[in-house]
Amino acid sequence: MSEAAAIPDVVPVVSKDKKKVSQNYWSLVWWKFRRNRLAVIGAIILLIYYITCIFFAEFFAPYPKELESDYLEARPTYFQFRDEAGNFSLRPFVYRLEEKIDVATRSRVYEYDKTVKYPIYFFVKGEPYKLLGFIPADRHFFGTDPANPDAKVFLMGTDKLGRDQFSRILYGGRISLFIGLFSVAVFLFIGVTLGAISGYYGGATDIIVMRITELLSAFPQEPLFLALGAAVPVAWPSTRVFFIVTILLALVQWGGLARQVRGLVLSGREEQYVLAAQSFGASDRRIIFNHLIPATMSHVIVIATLKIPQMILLETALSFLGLGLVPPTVSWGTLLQNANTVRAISFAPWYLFAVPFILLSIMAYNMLGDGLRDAMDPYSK
Amino acid sequence: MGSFIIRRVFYAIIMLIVVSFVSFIIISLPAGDFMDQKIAELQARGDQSASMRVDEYRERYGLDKPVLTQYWLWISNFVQGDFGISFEFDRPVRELIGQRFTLSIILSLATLILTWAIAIPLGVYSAVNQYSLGDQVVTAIAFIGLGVPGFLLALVILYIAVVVLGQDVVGLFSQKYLDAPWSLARVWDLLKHIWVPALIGAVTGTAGTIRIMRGNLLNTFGQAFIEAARARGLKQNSVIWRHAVRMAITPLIIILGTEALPGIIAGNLLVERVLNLPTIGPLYINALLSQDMYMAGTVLVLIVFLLLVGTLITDLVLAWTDPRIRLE
Repeated sequence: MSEAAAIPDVVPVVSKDKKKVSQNYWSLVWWKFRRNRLAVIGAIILLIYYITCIFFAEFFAPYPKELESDYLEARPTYFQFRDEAGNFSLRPFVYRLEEKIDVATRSRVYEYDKTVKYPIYFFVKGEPYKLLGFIPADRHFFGTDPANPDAKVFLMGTDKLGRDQFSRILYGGRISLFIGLFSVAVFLFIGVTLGAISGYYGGATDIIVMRITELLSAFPQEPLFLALGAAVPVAWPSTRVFFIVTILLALVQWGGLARQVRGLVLSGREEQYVLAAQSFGASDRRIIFNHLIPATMSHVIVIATLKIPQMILLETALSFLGLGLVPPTVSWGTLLQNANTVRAISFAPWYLFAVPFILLSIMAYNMLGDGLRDAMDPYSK
Repeated sequence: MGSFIIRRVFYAIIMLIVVSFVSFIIISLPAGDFMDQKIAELQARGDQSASMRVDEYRERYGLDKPVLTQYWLWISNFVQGDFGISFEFDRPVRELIGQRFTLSIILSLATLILTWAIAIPLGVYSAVNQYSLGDQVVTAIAFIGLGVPGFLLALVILYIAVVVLGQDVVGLFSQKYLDAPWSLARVWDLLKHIWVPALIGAVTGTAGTIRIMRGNLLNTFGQAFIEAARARGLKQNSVIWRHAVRMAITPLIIILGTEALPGIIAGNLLVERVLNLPTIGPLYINALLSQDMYMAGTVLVLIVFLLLVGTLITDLVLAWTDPRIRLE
């Protein structure tokens, strides 16, 4: 296989004076990871998501998330490269939308007016924003001619208030992906700490923590999370709701992690080096946090990476039902609310564009997590 | 054996009590109660006398009492079989759940059958022809299936069915058979509708089951008795199915026990909601949204009850076959 020949199995790290130095575990992990094509693809996809949604959403989105327009529930204006007459233009353009009344359904629909073309420019001046929250800027990745106020580009259609769905999907991705990360961080904090303490000290602490996790695991996760989500007051400001949803997500799931870490610590604390550290007078806290917990890291990282998509899905499900984060907060779940009814799907199917975005991010995380797991397993080829 | 059963049952009962208490507290957490929401609704419709009637309602349902008293009232009736009244529908919870229970069971049975019918042959094929093209394809499909969440799939399938195929896939019956008495035609109508939610539910289940089946089977193949069977000249098919698969299927049965029973209610909450099926799932979600305490609390306790029963049965079967477990 030419691929295996291009990237050698083990890279000998040679020090400056040409004496061979032993391979560090993490560089081995890195090399094994690089060989797994799916995992690398997953990582790249996630990188793209992070750049477009989390950090630079304002740049990539042609319109701000609350900007309403006169085009209500308008169909998407896709990029075109070839016009009616067959002329090819390298610069993409979109057609103008014309409002018409559909006689049969007596509702407003938008048709393409193919006589009017709006060319798409890149790095175009648009609504001002603050990049990363503090750098004032007004250039957007793409958009229509700023001098023409009628020129609009709605890559994925608009909703009932005329807001561009593509921009909202990007902004929604910011919230949804963030929640995935934050909640896993809290999840790790609670699970690892309680699991390690429980495993190290044993006795009463262990029994109490284990009983709590048992109680938690008696509940089915999704219904419990939905019930807790319903308890969030609707009147709360969106940032507070954001935090409480994050905490709830972690709260419902930490039991499994705690039990795994406890198992790892139980076997880890019998190791020789722990005995040595104890006889050196190392405090319990030092042993737990500086020795035992790092030893569990390879397992914990894999669990965490595979948990992130589950958290994202749970949050999406919650806001889809109208609990937790609610409009006007933009998250993928609240965007999907538009696609709630059969009527919506049949008349405005572009609401479903959020679905492939969500699916792709979840799949990328799964591929990354699987790749990490294979890379960190010292016994896999 | 007897003391094992008694210990487990005792433990399950205690768990149920604690769970019912926690569930009730959680459901009561949202500020205000069902009546506030009802008032808002009535006032929106222009009914001005609502706030007067509400106090009367409050007293009737005991909503003005402290939470602990409410819990005690509820639980003492619960054990006698009276699960409380659903505020939303103004009917006993027991009646509402009972109506939908049959359909929930039918749906989860259909999903289960579909899952196993697809997953086991695929898993066996995958293990027997390890690393072949077929195996890679099946693994890839399983991988995708694991990553695709049910309710997103439901939305997409809804779109395809309604817009592309022009079929009515919402609910489990067509208009004609909605309240009709059971007949052969009604059963046929049910079957025509049930394949959509069963398929969606089966997607995730299949993916996981394929991988587990494949892994277990590969482990079993490495064991000595398989080699012995082959050496004695048994046919390949017989070796695979009558001997290896039989061993490999045990972990699956464990999973079946613990997930199938609670899955009746909690199996596919969101899919049921999207497709608007007359099962218990949407009932639960509506109860959460409108703070219908007794309904939501009862469903939650029921799910946990089914989970505990499922675990107990599974453990009993395991203990019966493996004496070491009884000594725990």
